Amino acid sequence: MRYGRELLKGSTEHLILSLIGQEPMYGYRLIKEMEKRSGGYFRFKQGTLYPALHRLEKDKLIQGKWERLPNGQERRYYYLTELGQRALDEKRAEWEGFSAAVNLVIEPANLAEV
Amino acid sequence: MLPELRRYLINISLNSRLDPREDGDVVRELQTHFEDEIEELCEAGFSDREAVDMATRRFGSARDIGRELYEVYSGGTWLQALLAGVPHLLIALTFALHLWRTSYWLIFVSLVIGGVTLYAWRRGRPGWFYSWLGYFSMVSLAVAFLVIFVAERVLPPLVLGNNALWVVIVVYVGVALCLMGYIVIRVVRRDWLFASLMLLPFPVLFVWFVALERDMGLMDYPRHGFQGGDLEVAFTFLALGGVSAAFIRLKQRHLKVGILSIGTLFILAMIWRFTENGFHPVICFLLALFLTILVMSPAVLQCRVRRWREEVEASDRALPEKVWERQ
Repeated sequence: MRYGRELLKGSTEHLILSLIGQEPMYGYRLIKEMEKRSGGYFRFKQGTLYPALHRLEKDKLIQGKWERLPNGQERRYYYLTELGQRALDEKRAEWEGFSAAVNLVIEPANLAEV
Repeated sequence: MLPELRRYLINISLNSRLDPREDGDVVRELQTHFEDEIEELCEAGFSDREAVDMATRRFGSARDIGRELYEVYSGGTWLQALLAGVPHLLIALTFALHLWRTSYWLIFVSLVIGGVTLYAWRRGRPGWFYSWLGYFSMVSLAVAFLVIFVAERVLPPLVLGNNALWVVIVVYVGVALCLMGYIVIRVVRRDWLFASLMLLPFPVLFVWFVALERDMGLMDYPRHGFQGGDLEVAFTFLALGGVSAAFIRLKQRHLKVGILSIGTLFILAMIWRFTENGFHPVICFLLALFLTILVMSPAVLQCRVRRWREEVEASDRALPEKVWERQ
């Protein structure tokens, strides 16, 4: 579990960019969406999400805008910027390379081939 | 909003030490998060109080989140670092080019310092603003002395009376000190480190005054200038500019404290090296100690201000919602 938390810590920004890249979202929805899509695996101290969001915004990878919901409440939606899209593409490529390499190492079938 | 939640958000706000505009935006965003979370928990059957308790536990330590937010916003850009160094560079230039005897230049520098300070004050008081604020309070001091000087000549004894100048000076110094104290307390409410950044030129000027008074007498300085030229004075202000710029660029709080304290000692050592005979080691140690305490004193002041605010908060639960929002 501790290992999983460490992995999550290193991938938070990648996950945030991926979710926002699919659809603009506000903080609370992002957390719920991450929990739902990971089947509850990615459950973390919710407050850590906001410094991460603001860091990404400061790096101009995402942009936050206050928007009014149909019920009159306001929420701060985050949008992926062009720079963010490029960073996301890079991170995705990195992740694919990394996970493919890890699979090659840990899959028993690959051991047999060697 | 329940008081527990309000206190929790205040705690995040106090630890993040953001400028009022950023702070308002961040707190509002976190508030909307809790609205959603608490609503969901209440729908699941929890009471308001239980929902707040659970939501804040899920959110994490207010202090840690505040500190993380602080690190996100505390590191300024190169432009902001440059802006923090500019007032010191202006003073350094004034001495390096021997312009401190030129009244037009002094008026120009005063106007620039006043203008930029007021502009930055209206634009949400960013971090670099505080190195301008220090000089701004000095300029207002100098202007007031000029007014007293002129008044003494234009409005002779008829209006001011005998020894009236001294009365005016004493009253003015009292008012100036109160004003300075008020500004420092206002700055400390946000972050004592900014108050230290603002006070940074004071020890440098103080040590220069002590050194000049000892070597030649302050009154003779305008006539003869400092032995070996004004360049040494300029170097110390250049170093101050470097310290201020580094302070703005750094993200971690302990590094900011480090650069302020080491920077102050380094500049004092520079002055000691530049003065003709140096100071006696004991005097030097005492001066360094006193001035480091002066630069770090806002930290103590902040503890007292916060404790006082907590007491007020505890004794007056009926405060309107917006009161806790800073400035």
